[in-house]
Amino acid sequence: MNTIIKIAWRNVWRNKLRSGVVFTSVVLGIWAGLFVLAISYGMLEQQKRGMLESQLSHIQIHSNNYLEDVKLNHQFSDSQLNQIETVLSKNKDIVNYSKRSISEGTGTTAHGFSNLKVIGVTPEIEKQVTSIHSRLIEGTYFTKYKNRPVIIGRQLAEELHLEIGKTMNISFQDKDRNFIQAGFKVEGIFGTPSQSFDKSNVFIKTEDFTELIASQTPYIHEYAINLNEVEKSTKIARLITKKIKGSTAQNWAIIAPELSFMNETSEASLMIILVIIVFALTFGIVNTMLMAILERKRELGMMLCVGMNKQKVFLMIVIETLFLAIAAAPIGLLISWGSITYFGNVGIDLDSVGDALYKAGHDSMVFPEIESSAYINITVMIITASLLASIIPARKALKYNPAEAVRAV
Amino acid sequence: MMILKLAWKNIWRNKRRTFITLSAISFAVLFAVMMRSIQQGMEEQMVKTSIENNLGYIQIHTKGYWDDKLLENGMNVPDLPIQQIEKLDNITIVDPKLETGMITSFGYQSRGTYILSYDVDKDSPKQVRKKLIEGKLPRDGKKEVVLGIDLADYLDASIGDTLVFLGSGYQGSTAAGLYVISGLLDFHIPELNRSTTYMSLSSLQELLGAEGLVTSLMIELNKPSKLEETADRIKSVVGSDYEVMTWEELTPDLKQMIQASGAKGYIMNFILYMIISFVMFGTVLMATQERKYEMGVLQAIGMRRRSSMFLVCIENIIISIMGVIVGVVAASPIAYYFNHHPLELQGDSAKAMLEIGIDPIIPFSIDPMIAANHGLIVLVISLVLVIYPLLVIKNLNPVSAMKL
Repeated sequence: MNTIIKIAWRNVWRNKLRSGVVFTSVVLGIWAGLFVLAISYGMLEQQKRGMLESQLSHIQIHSNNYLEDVKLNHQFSDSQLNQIETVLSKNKDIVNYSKRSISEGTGTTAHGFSNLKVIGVTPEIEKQVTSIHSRLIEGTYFTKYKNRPVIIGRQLAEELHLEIGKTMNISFQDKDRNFIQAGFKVEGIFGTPSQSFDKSNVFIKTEDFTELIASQTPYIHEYAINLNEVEKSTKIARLITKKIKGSTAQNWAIIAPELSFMNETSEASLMIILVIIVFALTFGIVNTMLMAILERKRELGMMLCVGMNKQKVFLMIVIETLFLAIAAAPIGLLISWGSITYFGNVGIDLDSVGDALYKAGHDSMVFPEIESSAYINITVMIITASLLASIIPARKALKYNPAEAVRAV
Repeated sequence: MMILKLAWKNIWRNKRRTFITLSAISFAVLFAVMMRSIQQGMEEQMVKTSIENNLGYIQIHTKGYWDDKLLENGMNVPDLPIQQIEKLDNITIVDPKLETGMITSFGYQSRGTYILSYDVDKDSPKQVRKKLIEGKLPRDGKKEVVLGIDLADYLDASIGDTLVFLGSGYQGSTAAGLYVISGLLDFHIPELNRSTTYMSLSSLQELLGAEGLVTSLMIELNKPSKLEETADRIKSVVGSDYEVMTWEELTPDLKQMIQASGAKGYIMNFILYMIISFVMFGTVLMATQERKYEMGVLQAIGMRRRSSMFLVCIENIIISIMGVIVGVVAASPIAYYFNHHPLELQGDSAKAMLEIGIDPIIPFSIDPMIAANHGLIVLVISLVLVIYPLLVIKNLNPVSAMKL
């Protein structure tokens, strides 16, 4: 066995060209697998983060009535508000939170109408929790107009032909179920990665909201909470729910299941792409080794002639590939890590690839990133694939007739 | 001429070497075509899903309607050259549509809704029927509607309840009417579920006081890939009083989404091509090594370097072309098969896609341009790779090449 390993080791160094090809195949395979994963994962994470930042936040609290049936008068009661405030102020993982009033309404202009979710916020506080203020394409965030300003999405602005300074009529029901309508002046237009969010959500000031529903005190329907780490959201949501009566805290994955769904859908297509890449790579190694066996016919014939048995020749070829794969793995990992880190900082501009055209508000930059477990998974996958790939050529070598092979040129 | 003959003989002399080189090229074509077929197939699927949700591949309106969707910008059915359009190539259905926004209320709740018409006699009820999860489609001549489940939820209304519709009718009249809910629709798209109502074309025309009025003609195509040509042909039929818009113009968002996925696809393809090129290079490299002895002999017996370079060149061109042809021929039935028997996703991914209204299948595209483009790219790569054996021959020392 020792001799076989020694011969295999020497063979690797003897024909540097051939070794180089197999070595590079493995390096390229690891890099390609990881980079493809990193791009897909990066795109998803970015989209998720965008959604969390711009609207969802990490945890939301609603009263149980509201969760069951979204109605204006299913707001938090005073005792619930007190309770929640106490719980939130004691938890050290909570960075900031915002209180929102929410009503379903309809926005109308001369050019049409759109069903809206009207969200009443306190601008200074909401600014800390969500990033709508930094995603403005035009206008300002509740600083310019004193009288009933509204911040709307790009999609809605296009649909209803709205511009900064123009007025949109918003109608909804007040607390006594009277139908009310009021004109709001467009102060800002935002663009998030989600077009449907941009089309159906508008922000107004809590005080305007309260006044319109004919109430003395604000109606609060939702708490939006940010944590110091997203990963803790499930745990802390459960913790908060336990301590408050009649309301429930939910993390983003429960509020917006489509976000975790997105992972699933893209995973399916990603798997297919990975399979194609691994196949192409395996095929490449099989091909190179087959050609190598052809070229080494004489050498292998000689070995068989001097009395090496077939199993040992087989083993020798597999060990040669193993050496190369093991040597190539760290290099492949290093290059992958380097390129993913580099592009993770600099980003890849999708605009410069293909004929993609992005409008404002659309993220055209992709920042590849990856979970560290993927490094191990892909490496194991590629090394296994290359070992399997060496078996076919090695078997071929077994079929050589020593007497003929030794005379091959 | 002798060189040509020699090249041909060389190819068949060492069948195994030829086979390995050829398979490298064929598989390169196969992999590239498969990858692109999947990507394009998914894009086509996305388009198909959206088009089915009441968009159509092409729409015709009165000029100006799309920018300002007023009923007064609608069209009168008898004026429209529907039959002439139907006669054009590549067109399967021409469907007159009327749509408008109104307020609907039930009890204390009221909500804006888009009312869309469907023509009872045409094929479109099939598409509405697909979304029907409860109840029936409105019967002809009855004052019935079907609406999105979320809208019904918001109104606290269910099948059998009577809704009030209120809005502006044609030319400033007031439109109001009472309609019974006969069924509920689930589009799998929250926005549509929240805001869509369907009624038959004649009911809606009656409600709006506008007999014969439609706002758009929706056109379905046989071959979606011939979108632009068909749109141009329609334009010449309908003249300049009408606007002819393709889905790309109607939903720039969808177009963008596809471009974004296309851009990602480009990167993936680029990475795949890096691997493919390297695989091909590795094969050429090893094949050249193996032939060094033979080349040495040829030179030793007096063949000029230029001639043997030419020889290798010819061999490679023949093998490359054969390889590409084999690859394309092998890829076509596979793509064709998976186009008709799409990959079916299982488990969570399937659920996820259903949730956003896309069938959980991945059909392969059978666009012939894919095979043509990628076959050509692989051919170019493999021809560029000929440079390596040429360099080797150029610097070959016959004496050392013939030493084993």
